[in-house]
Amino acid sequence: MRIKHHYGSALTTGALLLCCLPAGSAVGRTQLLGGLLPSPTSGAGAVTGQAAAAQVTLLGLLGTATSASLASTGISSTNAESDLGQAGGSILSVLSAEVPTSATYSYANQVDSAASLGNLALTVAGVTVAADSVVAEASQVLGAAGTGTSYIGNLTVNGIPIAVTGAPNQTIPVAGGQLVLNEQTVSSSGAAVVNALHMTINGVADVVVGSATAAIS
Amino acid sequence: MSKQQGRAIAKSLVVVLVVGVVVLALTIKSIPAALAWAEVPSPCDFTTGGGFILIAPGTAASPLAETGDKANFGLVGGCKNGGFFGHVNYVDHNNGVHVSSDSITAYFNPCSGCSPPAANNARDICGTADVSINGASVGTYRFRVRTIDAEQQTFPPPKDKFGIHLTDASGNSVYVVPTRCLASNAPTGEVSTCSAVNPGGGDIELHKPNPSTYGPSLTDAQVLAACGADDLGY
Repeated sequence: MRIKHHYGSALTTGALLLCCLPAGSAVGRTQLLGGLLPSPTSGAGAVTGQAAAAQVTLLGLLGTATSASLASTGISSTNAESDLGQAGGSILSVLSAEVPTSATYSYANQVDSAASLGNLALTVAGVTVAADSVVAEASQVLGAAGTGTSYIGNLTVNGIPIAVTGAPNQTIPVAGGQLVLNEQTVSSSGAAVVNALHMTINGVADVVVGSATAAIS
Repeated sequence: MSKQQGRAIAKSLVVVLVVGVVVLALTIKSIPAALAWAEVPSPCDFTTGGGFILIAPGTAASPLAETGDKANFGLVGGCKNGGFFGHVNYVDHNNGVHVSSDSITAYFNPCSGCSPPAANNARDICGTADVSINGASVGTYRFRVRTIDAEQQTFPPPKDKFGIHLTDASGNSVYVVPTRCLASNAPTGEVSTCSAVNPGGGDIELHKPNPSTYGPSLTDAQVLAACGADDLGY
């Protein structure tokens, strides 16, 4: 059987009419940004594997928003696999990175997802974020709670080095918003969502770097 | 020959036989890496990874300048449904070398049964790639990348590793970075060069095998054809 390889940029754009972005869980925000990925299935035997090197949503006037992603992919069944990789890319003139890569793989009873990129350069509303490498990983075994982790190498914010503790949901205030490192959410069904780096600038932008989702039930 | 002499000889033969078995077992246990064999995992697994390595001047066998800057990589590789899959992308910031895979032709454990234990978590991903230097294409080359997921070991300090080798169609090496710890500027082989206190660098993750998945078997000749020579080390 021929193996399918997924090549080329996954950069896509779309305009979404949104009103009153709900406050709430990181899962909600991630799913909002993940509108470009296959929708999670529900019910017994549901599988969701998603991975994206980066996702950016820029909020405009009158509730409009523009979203785009870099190296994003997904699966929605067992014994499936999907991966993407490219030399480099940029999103909406606010983010550029090298070697963005994403992969998600499902077994009969497990889903693993991973996303990474290198040489991150992000500038939104005067806030500059840089990192030498960003990696996010998530996994869920059927019947157990999902797990995940992330790695961020040499992170700086506005040129100032930031110590990454490795603890889930390390939060750093930035002008107009916040930056959450190793953002982890596990749903009641055990689905794991890991965002290595999640920056929100209120009313301006919502950026996720290194996102991995693993869900099987 | 008396019965006593016969028994003595028999006992001596048994001792020789036992010693021989022990010697043979010890020999097999410590077989040098160079004599180990490449093996597609069965059932098959897959590897993901992203991060960077540091390339000090003179440590990369390349006609291009190395200034001590870093090289970034992103990769995924494995086997499924009887074939191989994956992507490998690599950027050397010292000299502008970009490697972007366009096919994956092999995925295997290059050191099945090897010692030290870290080598058992090694995986080679091979294929063909488009190579460019500072944005200018220089053609298609064969590549071999080696990954080691060292997180299961406690000593030496766990530090994942990456190496890369490019060869041309004639089998000539054109670019080699021996396997080294992520975010380390020294090649492997010495415990002290993989310091656990060196932060960042990314991660190599060897995912568990899928019981229902098998890849094609590879002969030594097929490995050589897909990957080129093995001089990446562990």
